[in-house]
Amino acid sequence: MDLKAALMSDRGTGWRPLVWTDQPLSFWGGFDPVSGRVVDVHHPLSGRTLTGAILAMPAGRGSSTGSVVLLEALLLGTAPAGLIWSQLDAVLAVGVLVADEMFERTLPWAVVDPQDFPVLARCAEIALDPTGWVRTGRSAEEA
Amino acid sequence: MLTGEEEALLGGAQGPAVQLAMRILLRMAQWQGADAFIPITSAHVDGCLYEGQGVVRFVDRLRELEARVAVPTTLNAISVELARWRAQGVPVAFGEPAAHIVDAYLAMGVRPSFSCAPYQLGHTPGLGEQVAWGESNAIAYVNSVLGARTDRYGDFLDILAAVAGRVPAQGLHLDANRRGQIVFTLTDRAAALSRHELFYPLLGYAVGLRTPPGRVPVVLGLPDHPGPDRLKAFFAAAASGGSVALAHLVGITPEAPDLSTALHHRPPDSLSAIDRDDLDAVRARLCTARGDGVDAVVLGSPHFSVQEFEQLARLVSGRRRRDGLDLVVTTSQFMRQAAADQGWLDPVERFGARVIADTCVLVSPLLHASVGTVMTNSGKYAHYIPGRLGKAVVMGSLEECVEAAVTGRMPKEAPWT
Repeated sequence: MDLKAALMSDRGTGWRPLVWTDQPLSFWGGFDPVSGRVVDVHHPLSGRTLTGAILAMPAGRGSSTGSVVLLEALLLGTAPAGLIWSQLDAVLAVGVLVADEMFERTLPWAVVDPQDFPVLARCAEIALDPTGWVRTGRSAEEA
Repeated sequence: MLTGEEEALLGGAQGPAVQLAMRILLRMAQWQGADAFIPITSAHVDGCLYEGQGVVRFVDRLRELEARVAVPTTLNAISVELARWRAQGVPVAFGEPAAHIVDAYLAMGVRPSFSCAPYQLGHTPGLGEQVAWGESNAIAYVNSVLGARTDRYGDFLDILAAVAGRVPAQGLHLDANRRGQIVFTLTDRAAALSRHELFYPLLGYAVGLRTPPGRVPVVLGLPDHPGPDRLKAFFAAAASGGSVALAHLVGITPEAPDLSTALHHRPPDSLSAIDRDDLDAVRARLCTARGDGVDAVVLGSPHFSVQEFEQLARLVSGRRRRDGLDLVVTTSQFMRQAAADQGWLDPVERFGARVIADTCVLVSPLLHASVGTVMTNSGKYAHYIPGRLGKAVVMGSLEECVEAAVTGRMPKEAPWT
């Protein structure tokens, strides 16, 4: 089932692997922009690589330096391919905006209804369609 | 709706730096659904750590555009102790770009506070004042304890707001969004522990973990006023364990003289209890160390205050830390000088502590690679050390930290005594 985004960036993505979590992740102290991995040992995604994947998490948390870490990852080419929240993470959003306005790097993102967010847990791959849809074509079983 | 003045700023009337700042703030406002800006009276900037080339390129760009802050602005902790990093053996490849970032901010008119606890250095906006602060603990403290109003600003937006002198009218700047929603009531068993030093960081972390993102928690049942350092520990832990940017402590913080006022006289969204068992569970979660050996003790996240120096000086008087164990206290240059003036620095240094200003162990290469287990009394240090530094952590009170510094062993498991 495709999901209508409540809010979305102007640009979308092709089909990308989805990394889904119901636990917000602080990028500073939780994500290493050199390796592209989650390094927060308390987080369920600990050790997972986010580079090239779309990261879906309910919201942001923790450090306000997450924007810096995300910009760094965008400049190094280790960033996720896209972000999905059920509530805009203003910290990571700043990183996205600064990357776009000052460094010509884009990172597509979408905000989906909190009630729809759990649906994504079953998806292996998704695409952000800039007409305002999160395409969820293939389920984990099919992929 | 933009004012005529704001339209002019977007058009470049105040130069290209203000124009760029306004453009980014306006896009952010649109994403956040804000339809106006609010003028601010101060800012605290946190985009000053050397985390790679991104920040260097960001500040260089602002400097090229001749950006200047429009309001009094303090700078957060930085990546090195500015005056001493070479002597401390910090690699040049790290120290030089870290100092370069700082120079760029100072050129924009930002004050050289270099502290994550600017509220302990006289930067204390009043109740209801609109400000733009970065750094998660500083945000939570200025909103909750001082009652000034900031949203949870990511790094970069704080300096851009300071340059533009305004922020989108949304989030915690607005009355309605400051309503307490998630009520936590302390059980008697939990409240009975409130005089223990670890009570506040553990409670803060528990509240952070259990508060949904973007919500405002309320804590009911704190028996007495904890004082500024324990509030600092509570809010730093709440902002690490979750994304708490504002919390009301009933009877203690200014927007919560009583429960009904904290809730804006409406029913809470949820009510739950916090018991002693919950605090024990948080402590167990934060303590990742196995065995009882301690290689280093770190204190001062957020930055150590002069009162904390006094407590530490009394505990270490006439003693000496174990050879080979590292003891690091992180603070601001102002608090270190105040501690020196009052005679508290000397006993701490004679005990064998390294007192480092301007920075902290999470952002500066201060701890040796051979250090495996770190002990701290800070919930914020405990949360971030495993991920940032790859070291194991054990939490203990200041007194337990001193014991461990002397013996190299954690004191026998005796929580809450």
